[in-house]
Amino acid sequence: MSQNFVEFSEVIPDVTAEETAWLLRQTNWEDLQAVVADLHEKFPVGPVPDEEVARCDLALLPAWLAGDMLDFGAEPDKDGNFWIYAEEYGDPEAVATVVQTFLDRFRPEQSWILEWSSYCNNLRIGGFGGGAVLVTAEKIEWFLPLELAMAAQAKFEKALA
Amino acid sequence: MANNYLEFSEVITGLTPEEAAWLQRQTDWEQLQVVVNDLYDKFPGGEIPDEEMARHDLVLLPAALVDDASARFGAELDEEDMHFWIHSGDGGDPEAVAELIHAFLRRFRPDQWWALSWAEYCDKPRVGEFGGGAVFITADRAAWFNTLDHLTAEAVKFEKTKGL
Repeated sequence: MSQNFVEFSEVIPDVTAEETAWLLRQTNWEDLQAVVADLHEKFPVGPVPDEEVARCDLALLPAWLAGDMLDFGAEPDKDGNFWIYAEEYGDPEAVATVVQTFLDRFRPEQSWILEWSSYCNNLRIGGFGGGAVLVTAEKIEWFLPLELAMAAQAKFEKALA
Repeated sequence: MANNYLEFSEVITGLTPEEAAWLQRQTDWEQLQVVVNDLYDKFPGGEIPDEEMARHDLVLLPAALVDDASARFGAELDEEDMHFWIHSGDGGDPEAVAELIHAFLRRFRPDQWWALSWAEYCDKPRVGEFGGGAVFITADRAAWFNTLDHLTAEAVKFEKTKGL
C-alpha cells in the first residue's frame, strides 16, 4: 500500500523568551485537546461563543473546534530559534495560522516562508509535489506549483480554442 | 548522514508506435552513453561539430556530453496501455524531462501540453530542505514554477514595501 507524506522543516529565527513561551503554548497539542474537550462539555449544543474562543487565545482553536485537528512538530532549538517541522505528515495551513498570529503579535514588520514537499513512498503517478506559503501579519499567500501549471494549461487550451 | 531526494512520477498517454519508439530511443541511457563515448573518441579535443550532434538526433545528448550523470530519469514503455512512464525514485532531473518532452511535443503533438510536478525532500528534517515544483510544457515553451524562487521574490517585495 502506498503512503503519502507532507514534510517540512523551518525555523523562526532568534526568538525571545516571551515569543518562545507563546509559541510553546500555541503548539501544546495535549493542552489544546483539553481546551477543546472542556469547551465541548461547556457548550454541548451549538457553536462555542466567539468571545469564549477569543478568551483562550489559541490560534488553532477554531480549526480544532471545527474538527480539523491539525498539528506539526514545534520546539525551540539550541541556537535560540523555534523549529517547526513535520517528519511524516504535518499541516502547512496550521503552521501558517500560528505563524500569522505570531507575526501579528510580535513581529508585524516581518515575513516568514514555509516550504513543504508532498510525496509518496512508491512511484504513484502524480503523487509528487510541493508548495510554499508566505506569511505576514496581514496575509497568508499560498504558492502551489501544480495549480499554477494547471492555470497555464487552462490559458493554453483557451488560446487553442 | 542525510540524503536528499528529488522524485516524480507521470505518464505520457495514448502513444502511437512511432511516438513510443522515439521516446524509447531518446531514453535508452546505455545507448546514449555509447554515443557520448564514441564522440569523445572521435573528437578528443572536446569540440564536437553541430552537424555531428544533429546527426544523432538525441535530445539529451548535449547535456550528457557536459555531465554524463545528468539527463537521467526512469523511463519505461507500458506496451499494453501505450503509456510512457517517466519517473524518479531518487534524484531525477526535471530539466532533462522538460527538454525531452518539449522536443516530443514539437515533433509529434504541437497542439498538446504536458506537466510534471516533483517533490524535493530530505530523509532527515533538515531546515530548508523541503519543497517542490512543477513545469508546464508545450511545443513552444516550458513554464517553471518553483516554490523557493517564487516566495523569495514575494518576500523581497514585502520587505521593500516595509522599507526594510
